[in-house]
Amino acid sequence: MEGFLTIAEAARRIATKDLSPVELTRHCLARIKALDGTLNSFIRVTEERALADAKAAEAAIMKSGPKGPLHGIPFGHKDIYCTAGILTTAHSKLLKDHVPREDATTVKQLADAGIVLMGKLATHEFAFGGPSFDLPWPPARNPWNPDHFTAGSSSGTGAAVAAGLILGGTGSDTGGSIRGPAALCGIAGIKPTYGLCSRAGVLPLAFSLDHAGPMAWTVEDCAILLQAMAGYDPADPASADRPVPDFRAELATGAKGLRVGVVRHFHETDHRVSDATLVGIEGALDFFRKSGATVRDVSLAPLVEWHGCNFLILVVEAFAVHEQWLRTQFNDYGELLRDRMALGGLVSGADHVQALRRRRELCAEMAAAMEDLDILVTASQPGEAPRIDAVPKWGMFEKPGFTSTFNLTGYPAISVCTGYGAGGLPVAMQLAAKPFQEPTLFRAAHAYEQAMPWRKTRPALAVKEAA
Amino acid sequence: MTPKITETEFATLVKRAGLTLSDAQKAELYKAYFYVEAMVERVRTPRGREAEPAHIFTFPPSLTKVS
Repeated sequence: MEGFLTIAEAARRIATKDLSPVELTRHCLARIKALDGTLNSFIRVTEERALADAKAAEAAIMKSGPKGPLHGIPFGHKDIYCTAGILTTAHSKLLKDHVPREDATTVKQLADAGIVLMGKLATHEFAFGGPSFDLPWPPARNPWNPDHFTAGSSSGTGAAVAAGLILGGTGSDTGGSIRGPAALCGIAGIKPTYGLCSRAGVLPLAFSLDHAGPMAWTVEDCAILLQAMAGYDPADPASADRPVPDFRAELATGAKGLRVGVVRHFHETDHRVSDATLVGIEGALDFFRKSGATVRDVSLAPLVEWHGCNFLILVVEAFAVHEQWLRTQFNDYGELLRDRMALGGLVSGADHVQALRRRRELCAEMAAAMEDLDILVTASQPGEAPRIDAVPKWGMFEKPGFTSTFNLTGYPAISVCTGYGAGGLPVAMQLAAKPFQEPTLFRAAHAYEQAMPWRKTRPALAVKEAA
Repeated sequence: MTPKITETEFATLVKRAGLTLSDAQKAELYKAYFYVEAMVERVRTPRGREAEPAHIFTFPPSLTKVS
């Protein structure tokens, strides 16, 4: 087979028996062998398991057709998703021998949907410390230029999907860990509404901010993956007990009639983005206007308020999760993780409660702002990926990020590629919607993505290998 | 940017957290404590005593069902 396939395209070809899951899996394994020595996107390739999954899928499909669009699709899990019988390390020396007895709920859901498990993907240590060079495995590198950062923490998923090593993968997002790598690697990634996807069996970073979600080349592929991952799980105390909608139901509807708000001050003044990022966002707003959506500016509290509140809660919760190890095995963590997380142990109880009270106020502010809007637009990242050796340890505290606003409030948000910057690396925007309105979020993002040419370009390194 | 607390006060916080740090680690974290102070200041906006925090919990339906 030639070129790159999306999940939707591969599923169509598998359904018509034009494409063999075994052939597709072998193709992806060959790509991993050719490219992952450079990209480091996998911690562990489960080749035998992948071929067994693919052969089982092929046999079942030949007998009675595919059970859905994920049947026979090569896929990877971020290495904080517990996989029964397969090492799950969180990219950390502390868990280098950790073999879970059970799958995470979402791992099981995706296996039931028929994915082919290709392996476990690089992450920032415990989804927080990276890019680190003092861990048992190297950090993932950006396929658009391996000297550059992928963002994190779902770094391996971003790199592997962009390079076509897998067709989709899992990520987790506590302050932007799905949307950041999606943006810098030029793919799509959705942080769903808090409670939509189970967190059970996903190693925690900060309980009240953690979200599980999918990453893929296109918005439509994210919708297909979310369909398999969403749903009530009594094992997750935050799981929402409500029906799961059809996430692709509104994809063909277009943007006409959508009410779009743009939080211009977030990305123009609170944290000024690159020119290419700004051009991308303005291009998207023009698209929405021309498509019959209404677009208006929205003013919210300064970006630093949302980001600071999110990160104060994050470090406190994370310290509580890791307290015992931080006290007894501090130096077994990588430097970035241990230093960032240690700050959480230095916050008083009263300050933590004040952060929780501020969180309620900000949630109320967001709810009021979204009352008569369907979609909110801002940046996803400030610009193209920086060099991987130039990421400051305290960067996430020095300048406010664009993504944590929606962890703090729990609203669904997606990162979508909006083109390429002066350095040839991707830039992106972020769209958010009301809680549990993922179908509308996918509708807006898909309409934009379909109208633009960005999905036709893959990283040169991957294209060269494919040729 | 220097934190408002002294290094002695900072050492007390580190001890209370149960962390054992080298002098270099302590110095590095002391500098970074500025970021904690900035975040703490931002969440202390004026509010009434009755303002509630964000965390909530719900009772399982099985416990609240009226028979």
